[in-house]
Amino acid sequence: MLKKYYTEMKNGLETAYQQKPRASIRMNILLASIFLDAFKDDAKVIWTSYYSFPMELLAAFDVAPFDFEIAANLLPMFNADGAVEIMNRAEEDGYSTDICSYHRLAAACSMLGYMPKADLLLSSTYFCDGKSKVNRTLADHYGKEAISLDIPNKISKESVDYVAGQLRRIAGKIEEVTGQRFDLDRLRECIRVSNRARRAYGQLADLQKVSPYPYIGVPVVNMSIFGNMLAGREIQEQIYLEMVDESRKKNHGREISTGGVPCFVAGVVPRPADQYKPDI
Amino acid sequence: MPGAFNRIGYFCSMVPVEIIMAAGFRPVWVKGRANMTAAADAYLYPNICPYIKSLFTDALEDGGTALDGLVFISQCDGMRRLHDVWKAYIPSKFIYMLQAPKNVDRLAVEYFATQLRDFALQMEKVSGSEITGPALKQAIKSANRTRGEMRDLYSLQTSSPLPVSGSELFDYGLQILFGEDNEAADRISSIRKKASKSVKHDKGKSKTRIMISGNVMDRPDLFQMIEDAGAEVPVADFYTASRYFERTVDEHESDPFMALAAAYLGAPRCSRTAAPDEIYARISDNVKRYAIEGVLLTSLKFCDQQLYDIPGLLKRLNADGTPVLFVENDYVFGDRDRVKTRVEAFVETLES
Repeated sequence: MLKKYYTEMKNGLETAYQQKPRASIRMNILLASIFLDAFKDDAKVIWTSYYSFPMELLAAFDVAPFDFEIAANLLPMFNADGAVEIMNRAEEDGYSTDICSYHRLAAACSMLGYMPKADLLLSSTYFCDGKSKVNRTLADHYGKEAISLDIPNKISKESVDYVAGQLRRIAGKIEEVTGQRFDLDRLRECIRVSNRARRAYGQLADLQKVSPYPYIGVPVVNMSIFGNMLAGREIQEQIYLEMVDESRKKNHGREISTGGVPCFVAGVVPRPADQYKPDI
Repeated sequence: MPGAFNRIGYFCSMVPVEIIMAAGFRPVWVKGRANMTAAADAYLYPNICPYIKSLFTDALEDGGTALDGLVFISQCDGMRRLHDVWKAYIPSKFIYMLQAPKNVDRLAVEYFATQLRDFALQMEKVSGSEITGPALKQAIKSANRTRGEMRDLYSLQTSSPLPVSGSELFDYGLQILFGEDNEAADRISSIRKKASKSVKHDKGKSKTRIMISGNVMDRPDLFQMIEDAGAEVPVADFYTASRYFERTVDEHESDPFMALAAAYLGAPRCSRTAAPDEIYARISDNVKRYAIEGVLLTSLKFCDQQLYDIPGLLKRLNADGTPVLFVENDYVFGDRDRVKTRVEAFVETLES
């Protein structure tokens, strides 16, 4: 079912892009394409979280990263009634209505066989308890391994060492699952590319200070959430820079806002990695 | 310097009480006393753990003066939020947030040991004296002995009829959690000796034997409901009950912080770090060991750690033919009658 919806989504967006070539549409085409890649028989599919796992590490391998939360939770956009029925299925299976509806939907889509197969399930503790819990539950369902990247709340030398140690182990596990060799130089390049993209996103955020904003919140937030699926790939910076150009054109003649009540939505684009200074 | 009754509160069994004891304080499991948690709703989301809301309601009422300090641990999102609001709104002499890993491998144990060293340093500052190696080793020995005595007491519960009722045994455990001291082991030892005399070896069938398994439980309601319905509870798998006492810290490890980290991240684990398979294996072992006829699974509402595991546990228990009832609870049992009816029906089903 999801494969059918993402095919329709991609086709529709490609038509829209021909009529109106916008960076945000291009980003959504890439999102649908990446989801569809995960359905290919020969793909090495890593389930992950685009916005809470360091995607640069996956970009250093040739894998299909699949964010099961985002993938399942676009479903109501295609078929709201169907999504409710799917969630009912999760509740019949014992998932409490007290737990996150994103996760109930993802769990039920897995049970119903709507998701692509997973070769490895990666998650992190960066956002919420539910994320790594549902990752483990679904790994149990597929009989595959789940690994949670444990991110402590305090930044210190010890916590950085702890996270780095886990990332080395995860790289080893990806090597094992995919049969590909981990290339440290390729990872370094992915990090450099990703840092450039973050700086481009920073420019975009600055341009949003103008009133009226060049973009309403949705595409900007989508860029930060979906955009991370491309972290470590050149195309992420290209799309952000296209959006910066579009914003500059829209902002021409406008001034920095001093009035109104801007509403801040917490984005999920972290600072460039080289700006982290642990309290050593 | 701490006085004899200076108490440091904690909310999770992953807080190593030995470090608090070595600093000269008495570690105290903090129970939520409030039956209504509406006051906390002004500070915390309504869909947050009811245990946490009960704790914060108490803090708002007594101004947080009941204890000399509090140790939070990064056990779950809810507890982290409780730490945040507590720090912001409740004047406290000492608040510490202990970072606990969510993984349990060697890397996690080593990281946790570094956090425990930092915790010990902070406790030293509060107590004004150094936590010496011998003091920490003595605290480890003392806590091990208390837990060992409780394990021995639990082992008597394999007999039928029970030498100690489930609710009594649960209460003995809670008394230790509510104020671990050096005399706890002696008290339990004396109870165990008395109880062992009443153990009958013919193992004749008496009452229907139900095990309760869940996360936080520091109220006797479910035990009373089961016992009032004519059944008994040989073992309760909570981190405020048998699970807490199964832990032993290695007294011979040269680095006591590594020993504590390994023990507190080790088995028996709760849903925070254990996969459903591991929890099921523990429940299954207890079912066999204590001749359990039915399992009552319970979880606090909005507990992400446990609620995600429930479908997997139900599936496994149903597959092996173990009768199981799952009940969500709101910590204060505001829906007591509804839960009681379900428990009574479950007991009747098992008896028939």
